[in-house]
Amino acid sequence: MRAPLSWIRDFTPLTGTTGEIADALNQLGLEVEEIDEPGRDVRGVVVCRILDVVAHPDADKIRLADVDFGDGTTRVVCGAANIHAGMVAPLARIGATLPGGFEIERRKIRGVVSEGMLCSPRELGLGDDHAGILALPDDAPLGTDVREVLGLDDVVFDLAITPDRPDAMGIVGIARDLAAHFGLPFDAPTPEESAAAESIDGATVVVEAPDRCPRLVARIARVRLAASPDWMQRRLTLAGMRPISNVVDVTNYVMLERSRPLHAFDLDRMAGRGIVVRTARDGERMVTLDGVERSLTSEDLLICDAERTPRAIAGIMGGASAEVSGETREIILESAHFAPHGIARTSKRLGLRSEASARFERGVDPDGAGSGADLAMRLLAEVAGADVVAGRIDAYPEPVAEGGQGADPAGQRRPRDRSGFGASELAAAATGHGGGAGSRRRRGVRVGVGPDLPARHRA
Amino acid sequence: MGDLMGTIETFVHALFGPGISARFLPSFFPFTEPSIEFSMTCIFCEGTGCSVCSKTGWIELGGAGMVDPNVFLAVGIDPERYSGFAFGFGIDRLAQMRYGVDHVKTLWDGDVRFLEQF
Repeated sequence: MRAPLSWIRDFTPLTGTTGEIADALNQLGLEVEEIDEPGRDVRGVVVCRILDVVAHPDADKIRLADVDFGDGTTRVVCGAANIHAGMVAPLARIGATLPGGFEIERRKIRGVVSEGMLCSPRELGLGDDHAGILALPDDAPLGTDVREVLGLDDVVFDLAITPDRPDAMGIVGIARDLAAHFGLPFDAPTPEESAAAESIDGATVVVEAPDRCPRLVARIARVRLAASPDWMQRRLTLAGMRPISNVVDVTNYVMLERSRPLHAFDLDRMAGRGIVVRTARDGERMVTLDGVERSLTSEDLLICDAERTPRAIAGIMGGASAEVSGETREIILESAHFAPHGIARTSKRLGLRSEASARFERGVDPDGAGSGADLAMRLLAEVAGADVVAGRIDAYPEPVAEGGQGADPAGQRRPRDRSGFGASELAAAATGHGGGAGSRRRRGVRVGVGPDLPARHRA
Repeated sequence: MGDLMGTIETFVHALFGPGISARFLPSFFPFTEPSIEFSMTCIFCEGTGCSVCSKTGWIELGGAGMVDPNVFLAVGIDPERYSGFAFGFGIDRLAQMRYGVDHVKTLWDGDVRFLEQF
């Protein structure tokens, strides 16, 4: 799980240094495998606006650009074809350093002095794109460090999450633990839940295997497909996911933030305008999003349209046939709870693991299905111009009791103070053995934030 | 839990000397509760960070924990009366640290010139 610091800070006002936060995460049982600072090697690169582009007196393919970098103007030589007057771009000034230890010097290029360099995404360490100069948002303030504009000033903690910590498979869960550790306030607002109805907008949900799918929430929205905004793409990229479109990005965003997998279907392609959840027939086949045809067994759970055509392998991967695409105008969003063992078995048999299956296998909070769908709707209204249909369908015949096994956000384990293996024993171990242990040991096991306490007891 | 941690620490001191400490971090294993991972001070840099310990100053030795009461129940032992701890060391890692071998892979290469030194 890759957790960008800026995203964690949405929920708790962390102030410590990167090292202090990494130590805290390790002590919390969220092992830091790597600390990634994407902008570490980018120094002295600022936002500029290209004022004018003129031909080089002595070359065809390179041109001269006059640029305004806030505190003044200068002239640089550039070989990229995509530059034009008015474009906002990253300018590496004299003395700037770029990834790979590359330092910018004043150079004469074919007889013309270049006072710096306009940068491509690759030159800033932003992937492989070297086809042209990176275009920055038009409203980026001139002269600011591009690391701020591009979110490169962020720090990403790559965490190894153990199977007992499904709550830490989302930014909110990680923030909750850190807030408790540092004694800071924690706030993860959830939208007010929409009203449940049997049917909304003529759509219906039938769950034929409630033991495998104890809850399914569905919501509908009319959307305008486009790329998601820069801030959302930036966060998804930092967290290790590829931005696809505003609708898909919103579902991934909510999954990463709330540990709440969601799936959006193109409603026009869901025959009968509805969802049926059923187990597969032995030998039944369907093509998943990755273009691979999968052979199914009666152990597998399917999300189908109302005419029982499979449209997704529940909790693992969507199907190609009702995928959200450029033509999608209306979506039905599924936010479900699936029994962990079934997901684990199917995922293992098919050799198909996804971000969603990794979460459902560990256990997802069924109580978060409604608010997760509602949060996605709010985001869709913001980034996809969505016209959200009021209300939700909520197939939840037997609500899981508060504090019951499935509802425990920390998974299946409860503290066992009675048998002497819970927090009290940890406390005795940490204090009673202080003598020869040294400060490192006391740092290692902190009383009261041990891994066996469910997260909600800590927040 | 205290006994477990003390045992591992005594073991590390006995094998590597008093200057080398043990560190414990919470972790998860399906058969212990609570679970820990334990590390020792890197013998190459004495904790200051070097290439062998990936600049962390610590070398991971193994995993441990208190036997999960459900494991006892499953084999007919009363967890209210008995407790136990479980631990596993990486034997190659231990040998590497004991003999100051800078690459753990060297132990597996089967180079006779190397093996004859033991």
